[in-house]
Amino acid sequence: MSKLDMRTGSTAVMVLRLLAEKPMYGYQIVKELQARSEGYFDLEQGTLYPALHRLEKDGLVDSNWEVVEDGPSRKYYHITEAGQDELEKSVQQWSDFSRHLLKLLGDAAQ
Amino acid sequence: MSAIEQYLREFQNTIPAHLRSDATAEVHSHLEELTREWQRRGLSRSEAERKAVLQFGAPRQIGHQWRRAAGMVDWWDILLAALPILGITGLGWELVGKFIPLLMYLAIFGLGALVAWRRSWPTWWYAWLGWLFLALLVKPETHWAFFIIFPILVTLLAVDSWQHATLMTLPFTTYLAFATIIQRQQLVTTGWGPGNIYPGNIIWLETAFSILWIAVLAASLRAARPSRRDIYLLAGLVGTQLIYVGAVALMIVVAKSFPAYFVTTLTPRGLLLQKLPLGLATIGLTLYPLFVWLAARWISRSKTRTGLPA
Repeated sequence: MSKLDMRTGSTAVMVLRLLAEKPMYGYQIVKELQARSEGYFDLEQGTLYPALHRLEKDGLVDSNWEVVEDGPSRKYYHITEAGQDELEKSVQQWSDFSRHLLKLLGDAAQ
Repeated sequence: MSAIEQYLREFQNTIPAHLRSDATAEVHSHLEELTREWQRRGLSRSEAERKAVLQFGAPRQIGHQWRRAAGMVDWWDILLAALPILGITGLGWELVGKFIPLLMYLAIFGLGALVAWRRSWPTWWYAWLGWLFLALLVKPETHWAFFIIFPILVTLLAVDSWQHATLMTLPFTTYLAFATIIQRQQLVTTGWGPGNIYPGNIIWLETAFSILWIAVLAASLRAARPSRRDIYLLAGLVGTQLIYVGAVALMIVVAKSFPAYFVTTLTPRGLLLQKLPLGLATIGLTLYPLFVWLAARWISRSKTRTGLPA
């Protein structure tokens, strides 16, 4: 299985996790993901936006444009209450999944 | 033209009109940030732009994903969704029904199922599913399977999405309209018109009806805002059926008025007592998934209200 396959389905929870800390714009989200995963989640940058759009359509994030004096305007995304609930649920599911998977892989290694 | 301008121009062509300005502004903003980052690392403006564009990803691919995220349906999907209707018309033309054996038919739709599974069950698949069930009606031995499984599946699907269930019933409503509202040999042209090319049938009307139905399907699936898709689909399908019933009535009038050119066994009494009820049943089948969906929502809300503390 490729890294891309493993990442499918996890982008939403990673983005929601970052936005739970503070509102961010697309470029900032990409940079944060790269920095926090030490380059592991180095996604093709344009693919982030369809994911953000889907989250917005589902009501999990909200957005607003902010004008920046010495640069291009930025669209900031905020997590909504529904997004917070979804994040809690997803974190729990991912924790359960990874715990059981690691247990299984551990057993297999022995 | 700079690399960013070129990129944005290509990207814009892939984005639906109602999302275009916002999406383009956002992509522009990101590309500008990336360009500045590469400039800080020592590249010239034009080199930095080229790097930024490469790093962002192919515009068509990003645009495609964006359209999917916005719930947009591509023309390819529409063509696939329209195939069952074209197939029904093919049956009317007596090409598909007579010469393609059931096994080949199942193989084609089995292959379709594989593609649909690989693409996470897209919209067009539901129309195909209905077409697959139609195969159960071809042989009398499998009728029982159809009458047991199909209503259950449509009802279960409608609870979740009435649009998908409607797409699934579409081959049947089309078939019902073709096979029952008008029957072959009921209108025979004797003088001029397409009836001479295909003697003894009204295939041209079936074909026109199919084209109309596909246009409805395309308009509803391609609706600029997916929120309008429901109303387009429902109004279009019911409207098309009403047009069809109206066309039958008109044909009787024309046939009775010009007996030298048209021969018909249809009578106004037959239209009222046989054809109209069947036409209404066809419309009923179109509306059935919507009723199931509304009922499911009503039950679910009632349960939620009951569960609330006083």
